[in-house]
Amino acid sequence: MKRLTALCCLACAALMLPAAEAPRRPPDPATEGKVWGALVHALPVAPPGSSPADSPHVPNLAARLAAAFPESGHFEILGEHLQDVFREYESWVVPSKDLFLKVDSKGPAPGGGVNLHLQFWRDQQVLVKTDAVLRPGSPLFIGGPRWREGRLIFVLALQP
Amino acid sequence: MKTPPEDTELLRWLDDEMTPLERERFAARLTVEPALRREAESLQALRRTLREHLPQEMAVPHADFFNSQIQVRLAREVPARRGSGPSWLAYLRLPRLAAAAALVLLAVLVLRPDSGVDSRVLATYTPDPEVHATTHFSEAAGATVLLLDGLEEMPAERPLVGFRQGAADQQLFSVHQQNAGSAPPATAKDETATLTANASRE
Repeated sequence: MKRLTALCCLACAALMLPAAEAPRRPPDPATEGKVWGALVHALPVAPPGSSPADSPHVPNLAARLAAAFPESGHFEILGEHLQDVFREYESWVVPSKDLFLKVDSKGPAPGGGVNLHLQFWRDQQVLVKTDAVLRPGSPLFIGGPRWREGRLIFVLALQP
Repeated sequence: MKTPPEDTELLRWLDDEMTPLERERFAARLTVEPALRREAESLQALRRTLREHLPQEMAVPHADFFNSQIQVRLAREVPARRGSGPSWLAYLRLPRLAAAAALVLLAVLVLRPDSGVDSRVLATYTPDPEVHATTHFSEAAGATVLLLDGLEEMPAERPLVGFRQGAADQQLFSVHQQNAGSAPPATAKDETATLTANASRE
């Protein structure tokens, strides 16, 4: 009897496992969530009067950027954009008219987050196309072109 | 394990690529060489099993992306391979090696480590062959980093115009200009609205 009970428990657990792993849809049927995008200028040293990158959308942004781009000592947000990720349509994250991101949702990711197809644009030119899984609390940093004495970085973060 | 030339002969027999004379000679060998016959029967059984259990066609996820990456890599490899001997890829014709490679690929695809917590970059493609993309996960930053090298530098004299936008009402909160002398982006809000309203998908 005990063996039968154990087998039933195992079978139930096996049946429930895929359900637990199944991607969850957000409550809004038209969107997969929100992303925050920012264009950041990374510089070796802070210019006078500048303030370090800080945003409620990505905690400890400056410190995290410094960890990922150790050659830079100062990070300044040039522009930012909070954007819905539409389920059926493309979305554009445009923190700047010079560098921006096209986002296509490919649906919720198993275990949380969202599968995205991203295109990083400079003016009329696509710099990179990428498939990515974006999860809340784990931003994507795209190291872009050099500008002046530093580098331009695109930050993309899925909002919880 | 048999050496490649012997296996190649066996493979040609299996794939029905032999001339009638070669096939006749090989059949004669099979009658007098029990080890070769066992090997041939084993491979025939393996081929039957694979055909029965593997689909004839499998859809490639994001096929356009996949194909374009292969094209780029082939273009890079062709000059390097000119003038060299037989390709190591020829060994993949060996069924056991091919099956092993398929299993490894399957294992990588199915069992690849995914924390379920961190963001991940699955594939990248740079249209400009001079541009190279590399990705890694930075534990210290708690972020996935996609680095683009080989990009043309942005002109230093070019002003960058940044926006501060919220998604709720798509309102332009402020304009952040890097050059005091540059013209304000009076059409910034309209541009964004046009882009997000474009409902076409590629």
